[in-house]
Amino acid sequence: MAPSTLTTLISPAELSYLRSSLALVPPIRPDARTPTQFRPLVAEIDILPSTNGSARMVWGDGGECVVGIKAEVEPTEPTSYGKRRNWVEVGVEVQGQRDDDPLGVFLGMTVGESLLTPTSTLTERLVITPKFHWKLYIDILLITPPLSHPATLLSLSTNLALRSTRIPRLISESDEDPIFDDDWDASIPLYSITSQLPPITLLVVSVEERNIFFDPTREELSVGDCVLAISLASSPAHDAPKVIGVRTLESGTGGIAADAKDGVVAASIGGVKRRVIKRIIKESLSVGKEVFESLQGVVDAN
Amino acid sequence: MPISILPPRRAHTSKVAEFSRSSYDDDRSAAEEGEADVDMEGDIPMSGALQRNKRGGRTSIVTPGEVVTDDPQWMRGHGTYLAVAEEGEEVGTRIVATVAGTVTKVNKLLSVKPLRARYTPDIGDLVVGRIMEVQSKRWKVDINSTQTAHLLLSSINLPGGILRKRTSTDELQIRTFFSEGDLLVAEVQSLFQDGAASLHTRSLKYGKLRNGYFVKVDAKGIQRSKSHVLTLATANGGGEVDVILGVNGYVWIAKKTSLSDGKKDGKEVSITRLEEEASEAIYSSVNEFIAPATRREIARVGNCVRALVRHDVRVDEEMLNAVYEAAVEESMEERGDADESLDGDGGRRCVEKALGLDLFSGEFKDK
Amino acid sequence: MTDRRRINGPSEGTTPPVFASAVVTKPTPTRAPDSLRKIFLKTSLTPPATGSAFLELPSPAPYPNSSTLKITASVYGPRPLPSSAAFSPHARLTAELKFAPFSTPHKRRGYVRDAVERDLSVQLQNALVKSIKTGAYPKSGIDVFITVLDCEGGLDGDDDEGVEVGLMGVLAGAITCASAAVADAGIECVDLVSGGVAALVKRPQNSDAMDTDGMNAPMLVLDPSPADGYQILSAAVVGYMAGREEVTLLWTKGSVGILDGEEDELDLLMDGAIMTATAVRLVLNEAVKERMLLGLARSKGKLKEDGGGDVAMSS
Repeated sequence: MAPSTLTTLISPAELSYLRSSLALVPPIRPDARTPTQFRPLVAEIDILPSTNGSARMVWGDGGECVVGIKAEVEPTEPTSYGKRRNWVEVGVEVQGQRDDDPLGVFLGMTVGESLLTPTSTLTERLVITPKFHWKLYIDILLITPPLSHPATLLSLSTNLALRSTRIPRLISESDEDPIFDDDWDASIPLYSITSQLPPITLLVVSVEERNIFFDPTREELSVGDCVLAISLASSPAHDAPKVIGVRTLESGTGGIAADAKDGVVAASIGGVKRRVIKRIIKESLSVGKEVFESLQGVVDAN
Repeated sequence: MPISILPPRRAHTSKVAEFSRSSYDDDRSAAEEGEADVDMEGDIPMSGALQRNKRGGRTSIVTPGEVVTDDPQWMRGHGTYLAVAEEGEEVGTRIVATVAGTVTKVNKLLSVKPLRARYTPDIGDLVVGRIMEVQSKRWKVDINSTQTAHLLLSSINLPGGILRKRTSTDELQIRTFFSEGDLLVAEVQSLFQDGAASLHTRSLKYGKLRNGYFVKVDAKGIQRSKSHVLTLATANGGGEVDVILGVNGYVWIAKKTSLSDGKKDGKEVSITRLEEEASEAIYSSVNEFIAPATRREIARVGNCVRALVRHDVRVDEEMLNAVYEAAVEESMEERGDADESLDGDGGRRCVEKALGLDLFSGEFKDK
Repeated sequence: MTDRRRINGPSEGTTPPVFASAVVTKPTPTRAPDSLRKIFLKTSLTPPATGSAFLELPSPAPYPNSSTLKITASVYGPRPLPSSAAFSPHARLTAELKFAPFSTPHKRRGYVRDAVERDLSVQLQNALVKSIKTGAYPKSGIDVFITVLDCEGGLDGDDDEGVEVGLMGVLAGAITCASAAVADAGIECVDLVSGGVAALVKRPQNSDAMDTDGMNAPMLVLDPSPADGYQILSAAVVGYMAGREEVTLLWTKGSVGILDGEEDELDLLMDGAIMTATAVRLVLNEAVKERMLLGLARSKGKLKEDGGGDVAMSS
């Protein structure tokens, strides 16, 4: 079901009601969730037998995402132009939208960026021999895009898919052309117990100074002051996840006048104070930890 | 735990659809109480006590192309067509279904009602709509149907009762009434030739919506009934909350205000005095002050409506009240994993409590 | 079939000569970590546009002909939306950022818009839209066009382990340049957004001062340039409204954690970027005023010649 333009229309009275509800202390979300509560998710991994790794996730409002990961052997270019960045290719397809739609591009870049931070050891694990390496193709298919922004859904699905990815075991010597073991049971997981886990991206909205909301609905996104997509990485050694990227997203485009007329709440104009951003990031660390634990539960269950 | 990731639910193996099951009763028939017919997504046979079919006999499910009957006494209604005459027949008498759904018979009219379909407007329906486009003398309203409905400038109350030359309104002035994105409640006045609806708001109880929250549900959850504007007396000091159940699946939950009654000083406004009584305020987008307690209850009612539709229970006054009370009880119990949003198990429990039976097995619970 | 009427060039085309670099080691930074490069910013350079600006940042390396950051911005609007467009109660801002094909030193970029340009355009739009009073211009559109004529040192970090800070520098410069152009166009804003970049780098081995934190603690560098030669661990770019003290855009890359002690690395980065943006704002103000003052001085001089008008202005 392609996202229709109808969902972006919202009346000034609704926006005003939402904004005043979210600005209260304590805030009241329209579906009575707590500020850090996510809608229920359904997830499963290893569902596509022809891929190296796969996952499927269904979001609270019906959005569905399937991720498939394939690995192919590529010769390593000897010159410095063969950047390791190119060893991971992320493709996002949103059903019903064009290939170059800004949303798809943004999502692909967020996911790709967060995988290739300086501290991730992913590219090292992709080396087979000095002359060959694995190229990882991560293909993300948003079957029914969720009504809210799909960034979190994508990143969680990709995280699960990566964790279920297995690479065939090498049986040749390091200076020969690579030959792999046919036995799939002998394959090595891409992310072992000790390596840093693939990152996730959380969407956070802030309203006024003190109220911070996770897993926002589309309406909450449109009345928020500031919408951030925070990428977090975790490793088993550390307690708390680390922030590996922050991006600002569009917000407050509810279609109402910027000047307050007749008491209708004005569209958010102006930015946010830096202390609000710092508070947002601190909160997302603790929520991120719970998300990682929850994902671990899914992986353990399989 | 703020986040809960569940494994996917097993798909039920479907048993062949020979089981008769109660259909959604069509409310056009008389003496209809709001009885909830629980229909799960699986094909689990329900206990016999649930099959309340007033008209007696079994109703069955048909698929497109299936012959429903060839008895010439029946007139064909929606969802069917008359098959071409075969050899030896003068005129075709076989009625064939065009949609997958349940067969309903009203007097001599045979129609097939699809299990799930887009809302189709009928004259007299109360709908909640959102303005999509503003044209020179009318608005195009989205009512979750196959076509957008029209709201003509001549079908709304103009404040102050001034006789206006409706031909010379410019764009800015028409937007002072309804602009893009506004929500309104209206009645279907007539249908155009192509099936598009024409709405009107010529009563003080129709018009622009404010002071509340919009919920969209599947249209099948809201059936036509006597009253679509319910008032709930909420707990926890929330006051009174109006719930407007649009037949098209759009629901508006708001704080009850004097304006929403359609009455002025407690008396109905007669149509001759309508234009004078209607004031500028009916097109204002400014909300009144709504206390946090009321907002919380509005959110709870919204969750109840969603939970009901998610579990395939029809939304009407009795059921809504019952689920709401169950939800209030749940939140009072202060369980460790209180889930006010009623999205998962919490919602199922409330609906079960309200129905008095187990949703999965279809058996009655001891109340 | 050879063409004998003309003297043709080689059929396959030629590549420019690539000289083996004599310098094998990476350049060592010559600036202090908290020194900011001087910005050249001038407005009203493109007459057809409602507002325009040009920004140039010198490269820190002392080599001649080293590339600098050169960005032009043109603002058109508010101009009416096409009648087919839906009604909008506020102005619709679109920002488009393009790299000129000759802007990157190593490889020529094509004209095709790629993901990087799209991404930067969206980020720029997010940064600017919060500062413009769009509600004052219903049913109109404001278009901002940014062209990067030269991006210093390329966009990809040479070092695989380093964060690409060149891209962030481009974004910060684009934000500043676009704000100047918007102000030049006379569009109402609540404040001007300026862009600032800061990075946490690996402390170089030969640093003179032995800091008390120890050698491993990363160092904060303001306004980093890819040509500086630092090994960058994480970087942040902010769009900052210095008057209101509010952030409209935050983009960070690279892992940040908690330093020893209570200092949060991300706080450090953000504060550093905001400091840079605040300093840039002073330049922005001056550049915007410069054109005004020039115009005022001219009209004042002209009026004096004509025998005076009734315009009394303070200098």
